Amino acid sequence: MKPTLIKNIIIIILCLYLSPLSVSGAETKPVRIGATVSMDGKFKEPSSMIQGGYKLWESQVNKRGGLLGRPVQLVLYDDKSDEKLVSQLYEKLIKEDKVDLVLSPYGTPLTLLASEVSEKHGYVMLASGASGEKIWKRGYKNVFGMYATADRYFIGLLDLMARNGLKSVAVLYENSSFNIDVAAGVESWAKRFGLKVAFNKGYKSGKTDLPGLLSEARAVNPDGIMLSAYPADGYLLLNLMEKAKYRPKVVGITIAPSYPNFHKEAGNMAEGIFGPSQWEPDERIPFPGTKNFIKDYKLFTDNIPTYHAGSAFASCQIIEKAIIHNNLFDQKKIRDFISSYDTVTVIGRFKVDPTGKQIGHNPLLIQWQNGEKQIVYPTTMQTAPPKF
Amino acid sequence: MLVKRELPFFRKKILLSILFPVLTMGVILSVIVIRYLTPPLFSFIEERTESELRLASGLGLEICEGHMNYLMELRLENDSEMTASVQKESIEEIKAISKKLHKVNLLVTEGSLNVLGSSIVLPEKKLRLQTLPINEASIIMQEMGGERVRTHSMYFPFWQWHIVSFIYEKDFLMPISLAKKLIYLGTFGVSIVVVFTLLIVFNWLVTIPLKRIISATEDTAKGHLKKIEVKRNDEIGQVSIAYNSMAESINTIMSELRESEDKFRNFAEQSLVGINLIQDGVFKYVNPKFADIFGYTVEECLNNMKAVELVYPDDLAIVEEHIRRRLSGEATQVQYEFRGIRKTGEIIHVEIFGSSSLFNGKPAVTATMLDITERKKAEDALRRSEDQIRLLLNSTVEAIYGVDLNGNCTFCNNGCLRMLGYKNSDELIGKNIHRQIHHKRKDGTPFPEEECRMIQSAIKGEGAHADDEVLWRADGTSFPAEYWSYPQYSNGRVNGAVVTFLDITERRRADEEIRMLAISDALTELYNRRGFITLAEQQIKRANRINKTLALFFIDIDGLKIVNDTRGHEEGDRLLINAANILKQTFRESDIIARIGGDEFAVLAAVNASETSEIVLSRLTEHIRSHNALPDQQYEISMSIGTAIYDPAIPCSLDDLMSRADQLMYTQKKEKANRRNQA
Repeated sequence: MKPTLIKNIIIIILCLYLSPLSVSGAETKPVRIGATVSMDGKFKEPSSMIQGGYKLWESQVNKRGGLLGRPVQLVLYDDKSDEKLVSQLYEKLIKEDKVDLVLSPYGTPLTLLASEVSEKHGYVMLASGASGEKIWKRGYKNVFGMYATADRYFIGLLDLMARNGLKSVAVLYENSSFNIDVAAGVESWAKRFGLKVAFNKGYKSGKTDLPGLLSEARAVNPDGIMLSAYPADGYLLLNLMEKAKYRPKVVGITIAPSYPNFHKEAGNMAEGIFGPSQWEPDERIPFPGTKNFIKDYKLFTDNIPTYHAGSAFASCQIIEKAIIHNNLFDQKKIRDFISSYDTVTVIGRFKVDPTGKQIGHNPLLIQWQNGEKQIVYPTTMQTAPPKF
Repeated sequence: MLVKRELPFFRKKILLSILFPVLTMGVILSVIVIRYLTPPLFSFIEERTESELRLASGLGLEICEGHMNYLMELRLENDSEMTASVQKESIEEIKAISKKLHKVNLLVTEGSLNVLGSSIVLPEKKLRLQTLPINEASIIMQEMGGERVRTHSMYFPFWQWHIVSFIYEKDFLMPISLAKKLIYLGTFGVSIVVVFTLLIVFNWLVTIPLKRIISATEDTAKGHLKKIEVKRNDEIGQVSIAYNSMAESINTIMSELRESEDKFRNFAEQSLVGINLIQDGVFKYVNPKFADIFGYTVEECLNNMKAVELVYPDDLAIVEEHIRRRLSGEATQVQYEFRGIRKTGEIIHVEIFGSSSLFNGKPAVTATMLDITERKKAEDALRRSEDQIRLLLNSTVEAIYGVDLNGNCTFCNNGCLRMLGYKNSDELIGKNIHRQIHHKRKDGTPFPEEECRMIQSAIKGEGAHADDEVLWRADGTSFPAEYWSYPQYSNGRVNGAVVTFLDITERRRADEEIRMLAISDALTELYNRRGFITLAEQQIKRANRINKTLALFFIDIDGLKIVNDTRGHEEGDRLLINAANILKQTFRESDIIARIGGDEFAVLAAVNASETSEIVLSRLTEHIRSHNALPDQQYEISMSIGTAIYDPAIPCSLDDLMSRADQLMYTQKKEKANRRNQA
């Protein structure tokens, strides 16, 4: 057995031990739900939120009496943000651990791989941490999106730029499926809003490529720069800008600005940064259960939830609804239910198209103002007007 | 009854004082209100209108956003049919906004030119608007169909629409225009109302009551005192009350004045002094006494008679000067006398007490007048009498002065001044006469005023006489005086005294001479027997008093009879004189030396241890010898002497003393005779 597998087994044992149901006896067979989380690697940060959301739901559903009278037991493995590892772990969960249900890992790359395994075994997977378009272009029947799709991430920012008379935008993105989709969305929607995409280039490694790309983008003097990348590259971009003493009127970055500690991490450079968000832990958001979720999550994890946590929790809510609705653990019936399900979760509307792509949910746009994260788009949910 | 009377003063004053100021204030107020209220009003309306414009375009934008979200949620944003439908719906909803906002219109354009929809019918489908701003804050003035409009636009990039809200400038300015009109008309209207209200109130509260007061005042002026009905307690009411009070006071004063006038007229008519009032040189009023003094009737005097006609020509200047002084204000009151001429031509003396006054508003002089002709005569008689008395006083030898009850000199005659050594009477008159001339006795001791009979006895109403006192001159010397003091009466009471005195120095000297003649010997100029006895008895008394020893020398001239017989009595007298001179040489001046008989001399001398009787006798013997030793002495002088000592411890009479000395003298004489006989 490989050392990694040994380590994963230890984690599973640990999870079993820590689970409240582990001491409840063997009279009622628990519902075992498997997933991987990234306890290391580039997805560590958002993945920890995903894990918090799953566990909070596990705790709450067990307090309510479990699913169909059976206690719920999460089976989580650490995928270390490693695409090679994730498929093995999901194979193990389904084939060896024989889990009743699976939940998704975080990130489009991992979700693409994990969903291959779940689809192969007929397991329903709600992608609570992925929005890449590619996921739903494979003709799969059992994968459903929770996030608004990546191409819509910057609609709000582009709309606001156009409304405020800004003309051009430069797009930088990591060459990964999610980020490529985001960049493509910007290209498409900018045209729709009458904005010019003056620069649009992807990169492989932030550390090596971003400084040069930033210089190139700066040369075209765009009104705004949009970066689609995971958090590390987001902070790197701000660092490079600070060193170059360059700050266009608009800077939009994916993922990193949605974290509560973004301002702390990025310092003064965080001020004015825009970022797409699937959801925000703002009690003013008028979705049912949002307020309680924020409060419970804080109590459960000592952290403020991000949209990743909200999405994970919402995906569990939907699965719970499907099981309760069908009154049995049947993957096909669960899939059918979710396919036609149109509801509002703690992070907003949930509705999927026949490909499983989320079409009910639209992303928010946040901006850091005076050290506070404010929702600036859509205007109906504004907590503060945008500042340019 | 209320007299109808116009009050042009008030009418003009009210117009000037109230109407113009109020209207002016109204205009100023309007201008100020418009000047200071218009900007905030304009600003308010502008802000409100612009808010409405922003609200309208914002609502339009929200409508678009709503529809966009709808399309997005359905992922139908690229569905052209659906989009066209939603856009149409959006335009209708946007147009409907204008129905909720008065005078605010909305239109939707694609770019700045193509109008996709409008809440009002526009003159042209393609507008020539300026480039519509993307920035939503600004309001822009635009020309639209030849009219100015305020516009606000919101850009909706999803469809690249401009949602434009606008308001015509005339609609925007209408509230301000209306407000200005309202302020002008309101202020003017209020001013007019205020003015007319003031006029009515003033007329009711002031003019009508004033007319009542004026009417009553005019009646009062005509002598018909009338009270005003007091209806209010305000200022006019107070004036009415004051007027009524004044009317009552005038009534009372008039009555008192009439009584007073009657009284004073009676006083004047019956006065024993003449009273006149002269204005412009003629009499305006004279009382009967005045006319009587000058022998005219009152009517004659008041018939334009000139005042100067009654003045004796020599006194005319005096009278005219006094009238001038009063009329010019130099003097308010004057007192003078002048001679007047009666109708009969008789000259009379009058005394005038005059003052100045106003008569019929013009300066005049008034005077009371006394006929002092009789007094003048009496004064002349008195003056003559005084002159006579003064002449009499000054012609008498005696000094005379008067004192009052305080002892101060009231008068003195020339004799008095002369005797006392003063140059004029001012040095004595008014001064305490005792302290001035009678303050010490003749021996120099103080003479208390209380003991001064000269004054005290006279003050007590008793006459006094003395000739044993001295009076003191201005130069500090004294002289013996004899005075008589007589009390002086006025109205039966003593008011002082008149003192006459004489300098009796000469008389004293004459008396002394007479007295000396009685006690002295004419031949030897020594005391005679009477003088010796008188003085010796006094000396013995004094010796007794001071315990002093005396020696009495009884001296007989030997051989006088022989000289008389042989050489004649003249030689005998010379012998006696020589003997007397020897005695004068021998004894002291204070010793008493006397010729007590034909050839007998007696000397009473004070003796003591250093000046014993033997020493005296020895000196006498020596003087006799010296005399006899003189050349050409035809005979010698010889004296028989008996000496008796008077010891106060063993007092004896002068006779006894003389008898003892006489016996001793006789014994010595007898011894001398025996020695001659034996020789």
